[in-house]
Amino acid sequence: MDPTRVATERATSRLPAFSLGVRWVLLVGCVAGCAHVPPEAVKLSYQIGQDLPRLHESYDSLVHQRFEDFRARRKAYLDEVWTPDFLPRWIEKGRLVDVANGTVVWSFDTASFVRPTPGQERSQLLSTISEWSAQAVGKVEKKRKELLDPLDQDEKELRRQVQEAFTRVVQANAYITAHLQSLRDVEEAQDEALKALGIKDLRDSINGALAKASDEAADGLDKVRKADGLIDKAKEAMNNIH
Amino acid sequence: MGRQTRGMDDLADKAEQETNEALRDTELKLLLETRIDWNALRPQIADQETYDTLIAAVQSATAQNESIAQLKARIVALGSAGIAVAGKVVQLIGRV
Repeated sequence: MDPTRVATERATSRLPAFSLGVRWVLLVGCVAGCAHVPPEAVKLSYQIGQDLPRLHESYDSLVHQRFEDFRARRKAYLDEVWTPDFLPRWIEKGRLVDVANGTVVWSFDTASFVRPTPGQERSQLLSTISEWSAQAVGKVEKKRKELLDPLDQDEKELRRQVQEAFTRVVQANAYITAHLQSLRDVEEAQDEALKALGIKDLRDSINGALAKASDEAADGLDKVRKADGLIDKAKEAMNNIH
Repeated sequence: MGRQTRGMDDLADKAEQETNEALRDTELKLLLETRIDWNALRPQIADQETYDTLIAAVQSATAQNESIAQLKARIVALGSAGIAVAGKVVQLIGRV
């Protein structure tokens, strides 16, 4: 007798007295639901969902640290190279020494350096120094923005892209977790239904049988492959003899 | 007559230009060394559309599973009428 038919009849004979059609529906439904989803699969997926934001935090910190390093180097250039080069030039062009000596002041009326007005030397000196300083600070701040603003924008954009990528992956993983949980729920519902039918162990038996059959098939394939190899070697040896 | 700062602006601009000119190579080297490699750092994952398509398929299958898992509870919630309907469904399947 066909072994498949024997196995099928053995399995269906354990079902309560339903019609043959119902037995088949139940059996097929059971076999279809045989894939086992352990609770650990749900927990693992959930744990990944918990850990991904921590990975994101770590990645985000690394990105920020990287930009902080870049900013530090550019600030050092500004403070130690650019400003020390600019100030002497500005002191010369802004005639700061002459202003300090009281020789000239800035005339806001004629937009040029002029001799101080007698009696107004002190106030003209203060307003000239104030304007000179404002120009110096303005140029240094302008350079600071030129050097640092692009870095700030790049950091903002990169961190936004990283955040978006992690959010996308975390959300996708949440759907996978929910799906695994739904498979668990279905499995539990099936267990309950099978228990009610008095065939609680049937699925495990079928599952075990299928796993065993699959293992045996794999073993058989190995043997066939090895035999194939032997045949090839034998052919090769015979060819060599001839 | 209003305050004229234009002249002093021009003088400061000249000092600034001279500094930038003198430090051009140094600054260019610094900028090259302190810029990010976008290709290396940008996360190159699948686009949102791909994710949305896959998620929609998974979501649909999840909803179906949840519906199956809740079948018993729904039938019980429907009361005797629901149980009678479920019985008819089983009978129909039995005739297949």
